[in-house]
Amino acid sequence: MIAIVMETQRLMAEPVPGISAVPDETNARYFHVVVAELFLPEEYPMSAPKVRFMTKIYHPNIDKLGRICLDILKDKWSPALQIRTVLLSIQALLSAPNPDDPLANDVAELWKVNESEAIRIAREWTRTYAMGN
Amino acid sequence: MFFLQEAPPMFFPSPSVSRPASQLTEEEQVKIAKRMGLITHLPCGIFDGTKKSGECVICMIDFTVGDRVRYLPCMHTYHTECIDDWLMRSFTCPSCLEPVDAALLNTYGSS
Repeated sequence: MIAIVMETQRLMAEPVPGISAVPDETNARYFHVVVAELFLPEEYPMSAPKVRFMTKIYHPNIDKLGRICLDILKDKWSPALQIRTVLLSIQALLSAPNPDDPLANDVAELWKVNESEAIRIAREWTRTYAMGN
Repeated sequence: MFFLQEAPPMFFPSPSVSRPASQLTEEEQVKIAKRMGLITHLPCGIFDGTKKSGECVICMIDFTVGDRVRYLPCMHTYHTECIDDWLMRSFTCPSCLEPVDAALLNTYGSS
């Protein structure tokens, strides 16, 4: 628990550029992250944070329920990783989708055959669901 | 009169699976026993402040004189309590992801 407090203090002092992660007022293990939620399980940092997108997103590695296909959130987790590194990895995944290891097969398929159309839809979804217009 | 019943210790036959000892298969028990044996072969010591200090990246707390620390073959150092907890789940160094057993066997081979 001390580790979580230390980490939260550092994260507030030096936020990840482009990502806002704010601890919940009543639960130190729960973080509000732009359009996602991040939860530190009881075992953290021995097991990975649980991260999920709360808004719909058109991305080959994120499914309809907002679950993210990212190795460091699964079998490549290490207790040396932190909330900061997880957020940076998700940011990298958003800017560089990997359609060869898909979670949303239909999205991955379009990404491979017609990337510009896929990017157009992704932009549209972001405007509709994440920016609310 | 109340007695607090302590939860049975959990074991990790693989990083994402946790079970009490009573629910482990024989194969898993052997694997865990071997793992515990290997962990005791890793060098440990007491942090005396003579080497450059730093923090244990698992708990993010600076090493202070008197802390029990463990040294992995890749030369990364952690609090004994922190790293042992992790090694029981995954036998890799949290910092460089080097498998600890491969490095351990290499050390044996060369000495």
